[in-house]
Amino acid sequence: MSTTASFDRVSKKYGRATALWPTTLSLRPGVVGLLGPNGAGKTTMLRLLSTSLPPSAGRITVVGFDVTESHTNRVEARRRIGYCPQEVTFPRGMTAFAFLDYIAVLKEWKDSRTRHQEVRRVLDLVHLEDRGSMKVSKLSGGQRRRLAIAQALIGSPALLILDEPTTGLDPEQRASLRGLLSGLAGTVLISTHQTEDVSALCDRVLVIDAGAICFDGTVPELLATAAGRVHIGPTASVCAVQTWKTGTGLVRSVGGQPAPDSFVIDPSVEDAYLLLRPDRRTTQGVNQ
Amino acid sequence: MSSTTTSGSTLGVLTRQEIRNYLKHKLFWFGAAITVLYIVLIAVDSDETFGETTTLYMIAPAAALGVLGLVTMFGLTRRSDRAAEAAGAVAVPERTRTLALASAVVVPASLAFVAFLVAVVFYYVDPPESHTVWPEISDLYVHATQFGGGVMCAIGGPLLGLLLARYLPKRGVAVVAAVVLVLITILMQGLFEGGQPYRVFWFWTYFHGPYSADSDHWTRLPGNPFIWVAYLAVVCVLGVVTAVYHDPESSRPTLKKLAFGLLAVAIVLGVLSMTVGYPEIIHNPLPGEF
Repeated sequence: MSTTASFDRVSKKYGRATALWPTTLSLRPGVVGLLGPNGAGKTTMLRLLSTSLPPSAGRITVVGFDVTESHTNRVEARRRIGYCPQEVTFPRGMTAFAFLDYIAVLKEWKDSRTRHQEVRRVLDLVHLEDRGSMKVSKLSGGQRRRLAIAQALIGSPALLILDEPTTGLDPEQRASLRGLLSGLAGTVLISTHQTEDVSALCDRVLVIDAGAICFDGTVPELLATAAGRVHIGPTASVCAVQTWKTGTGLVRSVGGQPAPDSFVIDPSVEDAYLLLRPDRRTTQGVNQ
Repeated sequence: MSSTTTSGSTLGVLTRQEIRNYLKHKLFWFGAAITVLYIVLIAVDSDETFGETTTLYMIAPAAALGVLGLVTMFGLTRRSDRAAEAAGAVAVPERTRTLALASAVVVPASLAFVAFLVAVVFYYVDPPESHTVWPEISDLYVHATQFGGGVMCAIGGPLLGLLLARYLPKRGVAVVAAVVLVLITILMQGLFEGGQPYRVFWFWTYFHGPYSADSDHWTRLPGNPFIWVAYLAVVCVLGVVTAVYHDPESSRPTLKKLAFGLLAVAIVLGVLSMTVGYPEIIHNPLPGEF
């Protein structure tokens, strides 16, 4: 499969703080999930990939264009990228249709007839076809989120970058979005805190922490890292990364030394993600 | 990949969008209503009071299209920026959006030009009284001040709004700027004798009128309105270039050279409009009707 985008020793610094350590990776068609705690560098990575942010070092290639090389290449890449930022401040006074129409012009859809068709198509995709004439300010939070996703879908981009797209969506809308994304032909990179979305949708998972990728593999491979490390029993495991009392009254422990009367259960993506985090919490637990 | 069916340039398409957005803006409609009312009053009112002052000053287009245009354009620019930010990085750069927004000044400029034409026509249909325009003031002199104070202000105000939105994109900036603009206009309209020569560096100023500290005669202030109009035009172009310069991906070295060149030309024209042609204050020998 051809590479849609790649990082070659890409790093990003904000002043003296390093947001992303030198990173090398390539993205191919399919849905890729990007997991990581707040401040891990997820948004920085997505903004670098979307060409919104220049890297401090390294080379970024999108659909064959080295975006760090020239402005012309960046423009060519942008023609093939759809990006939905984490937080969108919508323009005042615009209807949903006018908002998408304006962005379609910014994406070089010059002919008004085909542009309007495209706007209607993406409104349909996110199930906002009957909200086109409504002012954006009148839409609900979930509808605005879907509108933000719709703008990223304009032109069926080869690389679709979504920063926490399911925030504010109800379970039905999330399931609908999964259906939409799983049917796309290109490469989809989703940054999310929703591990269920990753397990339900993604072919590949990247876990980033403190500006460095600490896992790159498939969902089964991620689950395999946690195999035999999640327990349930009457008492918590010693030095577990996380424990909580379940609805059955038993305590679920992620990591740590299992209590004698506990038993192993299948890990979830969330368990595996929690276990991938650096050892500092476990170490802290031992020290305490 | 985007299906970029070609139907004109992106700048052309975006300009049409921004013109439509300008035309739909409520504040523009408010300003347009005042300007149209002004045009109607010129047409129907043969009374000398209106004919003498407001027609000569073009105060309605200057305020209703120029000052309000500042706020209108500021809002449109912020709206465009927010839309672009919502899409992350798009193929159309900020400078293209800036040029499209700048091109939308054709809307207030056209309306102000119509007001100017009506004022010119009625200047001849119903000539002003001799205590307002006297032989030392030519018809062309009057029309130059009308054009500068009307049409150029209707262009300059919105362009100032664009410039502010580019460099000070904070909430409330446009309203504060409009208030400051009015205050500066009060100072720069030529009421204070010491500052009269320098008032030509301001868009919203006067060249002659019924204000005089020492007499009740209409007064022609120093300054050359013909060069002043050229100065205003250069300042407008400089404003657009400075707004385009804000785009980090623009060709900044070229724009910087262009901006400094325009600034030099503007300074020369400003100084010339201050010094060449009409250096002295001249009072109309006929007393006015204050």
